[in-house]
Amino acid sequence: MMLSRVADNLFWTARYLERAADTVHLLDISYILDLDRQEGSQPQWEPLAWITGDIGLFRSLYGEATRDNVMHFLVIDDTYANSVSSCLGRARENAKGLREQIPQALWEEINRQWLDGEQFRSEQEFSPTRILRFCRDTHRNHTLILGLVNETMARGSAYHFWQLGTYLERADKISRVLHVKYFHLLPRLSDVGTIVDDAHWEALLQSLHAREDYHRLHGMVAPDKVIEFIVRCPVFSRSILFCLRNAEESLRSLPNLAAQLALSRIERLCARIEETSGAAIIAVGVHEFINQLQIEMNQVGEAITQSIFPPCPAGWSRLPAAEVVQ
Amino acid sequence: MDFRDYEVGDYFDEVFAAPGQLHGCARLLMETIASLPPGDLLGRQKASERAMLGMGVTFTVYGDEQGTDRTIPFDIVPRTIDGGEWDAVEAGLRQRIRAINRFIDDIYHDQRILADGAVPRWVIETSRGFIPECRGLDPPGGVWNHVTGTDLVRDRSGVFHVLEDNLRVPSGVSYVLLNRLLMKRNFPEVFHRNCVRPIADYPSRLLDTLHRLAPADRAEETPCVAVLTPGVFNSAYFEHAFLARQIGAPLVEGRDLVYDGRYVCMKTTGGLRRIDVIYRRVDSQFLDPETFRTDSVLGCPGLMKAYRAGRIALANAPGTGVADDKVLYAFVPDIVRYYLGEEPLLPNVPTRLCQSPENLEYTLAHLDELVVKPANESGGYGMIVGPKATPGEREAFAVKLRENPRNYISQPTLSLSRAPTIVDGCLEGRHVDLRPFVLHGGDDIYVLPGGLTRVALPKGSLVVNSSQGGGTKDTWVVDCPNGTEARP
Repeated sequence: MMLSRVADNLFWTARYLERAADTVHLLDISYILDLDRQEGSQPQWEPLAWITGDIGLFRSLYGEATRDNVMHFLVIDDTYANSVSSCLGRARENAKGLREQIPQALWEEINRQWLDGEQFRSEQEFSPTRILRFCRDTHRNHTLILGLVNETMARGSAYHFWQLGTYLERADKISRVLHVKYFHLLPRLSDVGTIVDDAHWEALLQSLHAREDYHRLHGMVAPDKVIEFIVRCPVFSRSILFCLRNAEESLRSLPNLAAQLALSRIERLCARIEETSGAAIIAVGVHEFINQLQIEMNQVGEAITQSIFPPCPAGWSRLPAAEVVQ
Repeated sequence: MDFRDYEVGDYFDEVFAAPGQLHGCARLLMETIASLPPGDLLGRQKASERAMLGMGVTFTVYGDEQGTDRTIPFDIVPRTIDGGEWDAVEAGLRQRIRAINRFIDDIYHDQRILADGAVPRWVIETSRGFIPECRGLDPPGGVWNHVTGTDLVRDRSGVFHVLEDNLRVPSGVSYVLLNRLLMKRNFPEVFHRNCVRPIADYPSRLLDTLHRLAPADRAEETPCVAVLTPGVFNSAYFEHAFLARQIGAPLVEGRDLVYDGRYVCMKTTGGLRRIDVIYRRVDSQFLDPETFRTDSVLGCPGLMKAYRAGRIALANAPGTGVADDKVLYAFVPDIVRYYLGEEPLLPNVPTRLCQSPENLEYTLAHLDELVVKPANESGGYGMIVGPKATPGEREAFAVKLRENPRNYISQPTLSLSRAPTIVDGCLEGRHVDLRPFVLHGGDDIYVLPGGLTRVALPKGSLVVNSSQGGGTKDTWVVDCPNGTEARP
């Protein structure tokens, strides 16, 4: 049993931290790959802004995408709500309201990560090297935070709301990366499904922490296999299915009936993903598949909000105590 | 680090009995500090400050544009008090708290003390802390002020005086517990050998005090205790969260609460859940907009209905602020005599009520020597320290004073005791006060040994409030000044 407000805070703290970590990792990998880019090929900076879903805002603030302005937008722009520094700030504000709920060491790490970010921004020196170092530090901090969650939190509601936030955010981010990269990284649209530029697929895999596991399990790059791996590999810890299964597990562990709706939705979603092969996804169209996936993940998110804030029927506050005390 | 250049000055010093001569209770500590390699103490000080920042031990200063979060400066040199001396202070606090509780209960019932003239009626009638809606309330066991933080100061002769009684929502105990944690890391040997009285059991004693308040129908099971905070923007939010964690209680805000017609419940992911005891860190006036301030969003409409019906307990009970009034303060010695028939063990600071024309004139004429405080403020807001103020400030203050003399008291500017404090890498004397925390559990009263020592960091400053830039120190009540290997 936990305060609705606290459950909501936990869910969002985890989401913001995951969002920041996913962004810094993506940026780090993209930067490294950009160094190898061949003459004449498309630079990858604008797609990074596409992945956030805030490309319109980016263009209105910065115009044409360059390496430096995309990095600035994604990492240090505090007028942009989903920048790394905004996410760390909001996570920390949320976590302040959780201090009696989460282990002290976890709060300290979240607080420290924010302090580091403030320190970095106050130094006002944003060379790519320094931004990248900050990205790597942030990513490492996040790994530490996840370690603390796993090693120090009791497996109660707080833990499960945290896991829900982390895995839903991650699944969402993976689907966006797959979506955007799939279209932007191929040199020409007519090449989709025909000529495969290995380097681009490698990049996609790498930005999702998937490269080594993919090669170990499937050997050479093949588009349908890569897509299948990212979407529904049951053992790869960053496949969409793996994330959703973890979220499902946490929903099942929540001791309340209100989670039922979210649970049934996520079960249905997982079942559908399991049935769909990589080839089938390409046949349907990656774009269509992911659009549908996002709609359904949003529906899971809405149902989770309902489980956090149980619905209030009319006259709810007048119920006799015996019926509401649990 | 050596202390040869340390100036004791014309003050009572908490550590030095005279230049170069230590009080017994500080000897072991200072010898240890003296034996540290150069720079070591400063290194520990820095490490402790970093630890505080990392832990997010912060305090909010209102009206500060710089940002709302800052750490309270922490000084690594503790203040030591001899165990025997402390026992006398403890006895005085118990007496005072017991008498004040009797007073609050009387004021909200028969008002015998007013009828008998020991406290003039106008004091209550004009007090902002007196809440008429609280008349007739019967808190469990007749205890109103479960948690009190009494401010003490020492004058030039070293005698402890009560400076203020804080009976509403006194804060600072979290710093006491954390300062101790840091000091244990820094000076483990001295701790052990000095038999410093432990304070780590405060949270469990607080929880016990709260459990005892639970409605009788909940005696069979573990009562549901919650800590009520105004929210993350409150200056003491850190402490609210810290205490909630320490006692394993949910930290709730007004918006988490709902009155279901009988009980006060919190909104949880499993629906409504009944609360039995609220440790409130929200002022009485904000607890229930149906009873008190109608514009409050910090409380829960209907809460007082449940309270009157005995279906929820509040600590402290609403209305305790009546004894927080600095005008009433002047009468506390009489209150002790009236209810207990005893002489007060802890003296007040001599206080003039500006309400009387004679005292008002005296205060105005001696504004450059006196400290003048508003009756209903806390945190050091709205007061003036005459000798430190500019003529312009004094003039402006005199205008306010004439407008509303009832609202002010004046006291001589005390030569507050000083304690060695690290300033720019050296030890210098800085003025300190002491806020011990007292738990009133009905049959027994617990006084936390020591308390929060606050330090006025700017040279010569007498204002120790953290809202005014004060710092803190750990406070050691020392039972074995000469050191021992085993506790007695």
